[in-house]
Amino acid sequence: MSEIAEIALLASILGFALLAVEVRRVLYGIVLICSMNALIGVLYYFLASPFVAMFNVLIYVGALAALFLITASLIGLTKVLERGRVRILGLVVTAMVGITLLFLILAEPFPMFQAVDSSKLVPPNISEIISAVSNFLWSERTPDLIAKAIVLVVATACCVFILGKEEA
Amino acid sequence: MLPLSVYMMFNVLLFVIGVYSCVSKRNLIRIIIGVDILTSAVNLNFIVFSTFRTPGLIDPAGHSFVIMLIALEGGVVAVLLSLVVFLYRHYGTLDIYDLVKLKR
Repeated sequence: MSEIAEIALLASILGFALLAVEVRRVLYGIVLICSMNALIGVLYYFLASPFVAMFNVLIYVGALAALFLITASLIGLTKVLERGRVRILGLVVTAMVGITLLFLILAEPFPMFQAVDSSKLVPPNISEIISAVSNFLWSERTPDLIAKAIVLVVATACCVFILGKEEA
Repeated sequence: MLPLSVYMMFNVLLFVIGVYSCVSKRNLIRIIIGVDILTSAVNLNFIVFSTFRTPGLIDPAGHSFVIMLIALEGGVVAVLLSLVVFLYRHYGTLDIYDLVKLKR
């Protein structure tokens, strides 16, 4: 991908994120956040991460978009307008976080690269990457299984909770 | 491909937008959208580091962690949205200041 297309993709993601936060109607915000996640999936693909791109599109653009829309329709779309904001406090806190992170990035030359085993690196080939990620997930499956079990239990509990009868 | 520093700046900007949404908005759904943006920035950071670690090679560990994180994020958002539905049914509002007043 050419650098201009890459910059355009990054700028579109930032624009969609900002619009999703600032647009007045929450329904438009949900649509914009889905668009942002779809573009992030494209970025993952161009960063040689096809497996992650697939998961991102399936979960963020598919499942989470459906959850957001169902929630908005259960609540009533007309009632979820943005009412007000604490702009000054939010801007101050955000600026402090942003300046701290930028300072850390500029000050530190990323010394974390020594921590990873070099023998597990693979060339940027789609089939080799998918094979290596699958092997890693299988050989280190304990945290993955725990995470998936938590997700299953939580999703079931939430479905029961949302679809359950309203209290009198 | 753009250099690592450009992607780092991009991730910081995305993270800052998420923090801004979480801190300055009063609508609960908007705050959940901010959490979504925050986690997207963190996931992208993992992928960027895994891609730029060694030129011409990819680290599969970062990809695996991101896959786990995406699945966990689905569960987190499901919990948060069910809380939103519960709070709206119970109190009739999604404004966090109104909810704090009602609690008092």
